[in-house]
Amino acid sequence: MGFDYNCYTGRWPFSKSRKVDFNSLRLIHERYGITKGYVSSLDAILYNDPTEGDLELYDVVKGTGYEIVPSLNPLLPNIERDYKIADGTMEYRSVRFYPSIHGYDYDCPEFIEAVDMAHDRDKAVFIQTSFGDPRLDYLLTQRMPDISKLPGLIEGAGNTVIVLCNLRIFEIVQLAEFFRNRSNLYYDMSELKHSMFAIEELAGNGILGNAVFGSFFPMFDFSGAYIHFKGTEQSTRDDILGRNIFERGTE
Amino acid sequence: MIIDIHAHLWGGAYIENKRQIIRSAELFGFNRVFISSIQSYNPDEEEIEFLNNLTLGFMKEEPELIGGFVYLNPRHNNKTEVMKRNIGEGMNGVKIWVSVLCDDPSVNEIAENCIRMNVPVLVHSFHKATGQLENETTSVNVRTLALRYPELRIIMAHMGGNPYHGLRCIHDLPNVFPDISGTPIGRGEIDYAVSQVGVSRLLFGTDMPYGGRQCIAQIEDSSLSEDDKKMVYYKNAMKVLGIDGI
Repeated sequence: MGFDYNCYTGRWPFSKSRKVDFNSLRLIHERYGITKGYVSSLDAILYNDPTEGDLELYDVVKGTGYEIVPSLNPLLPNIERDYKIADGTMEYRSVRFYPSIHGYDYDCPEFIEAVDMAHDRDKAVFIQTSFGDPRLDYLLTQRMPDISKLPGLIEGAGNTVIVLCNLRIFEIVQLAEFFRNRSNLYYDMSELKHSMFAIEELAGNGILGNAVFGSFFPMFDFSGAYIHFKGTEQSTRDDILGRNIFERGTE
Repeated sequence: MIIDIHAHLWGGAYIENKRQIIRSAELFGFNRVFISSIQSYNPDEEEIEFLNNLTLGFMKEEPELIGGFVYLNPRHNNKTEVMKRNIGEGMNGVKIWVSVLCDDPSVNEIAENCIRMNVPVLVHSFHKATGQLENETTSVNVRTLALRYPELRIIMAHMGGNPYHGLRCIHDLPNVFPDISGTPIGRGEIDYAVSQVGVSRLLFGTDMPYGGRQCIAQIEDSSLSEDDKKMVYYKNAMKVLGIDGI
């Protein structure tokens, strides 16, 4: 059993699409023993109405064993409407936010309210703390939120399960104390690229128990995250790949 | 076989860096790792000497594994002397980082020495949408230098940072060899690079100790054939470095 909590299908319109369809995702997951992906729609992120992209994706993933993670933009008016559409049409257990793309900070009142709505529905929250390397976005520029405001958001979210995706390793370490004190807070492995021995570094900080696997495929090469398991104990690999945030979050 | 054309010792952490490079080479099967030692953006002559001595020291400690690039600040009057001394000690090329743009006239003397001594120059190159360092080269500068010296073999680091920005500048310049080192990690970048410059000019590098595992992942997840992977992993590097065997 293995989970990928940070994967996508759809088109990202800034380069030629390569392996961005759902079958490509499943094939690469099968090759690496990933049995379930928590998948979001790349299209939905840039659609004026993200729910249109989510509904397109839901038609693709329903019945496959994968779970859709609807994409939300809390700066759009009446975000409750997006939750209601998802509640009425999809089986889903989590939602995903993109502050660097949609342009808001972690203390944005609309964002806090949207996270509260997820909490009220017992949904997990995935937060894309970045969406790839902002230095490389010369057509669409990300506005990176202030990481020092993350703790405030998380503290306010109570026992909501939160996964911080694409957090860079030095940011994970910077928040180590915060991770150590929370069993409902996770980070994913998609942005460990700045360290050759990231898993050792995370273990040394006592926060490997907060790690889940996320590939950020197809924005990143799938192996870019998976390769960090090379040289680690099989039990470490199994623990991280098999970590079920939905079971742990309700313990 | 794998040749890592682009790795570093950082002046302030070289003992730990050496340990990481050796461990990484063992873990991933790197046969040769070519390093340069860097620290501040505008090093003085004393710092340059200290850093190049770190490289030489590591080369002597691990002669089978480590090769070196002479780190130069093109503003220094003694750059030719430093270059000749370190190439004479066995270093394999020159590294220029961010003290000047690579097409600054102060680089001309170095370029001419590289041609004369038959060694390549490794040029940091990184276009950043978030803003450049004052003297941070992009592929635009690399193009100017390459056109000025068509006999000079130029290793353009990091595929220019963003390959979609960087490779268009050098796609038609056979004396420029992009390396894939560093933090760019986007899916499909290797396939894109091959479509722009062909497989015979791409070089494998990591930028260790500042990461590097993703560079292996990029090659392995690309559409390259096994033969083409060999070219990127080591054959092209041997050609650029002018070495026959490992």
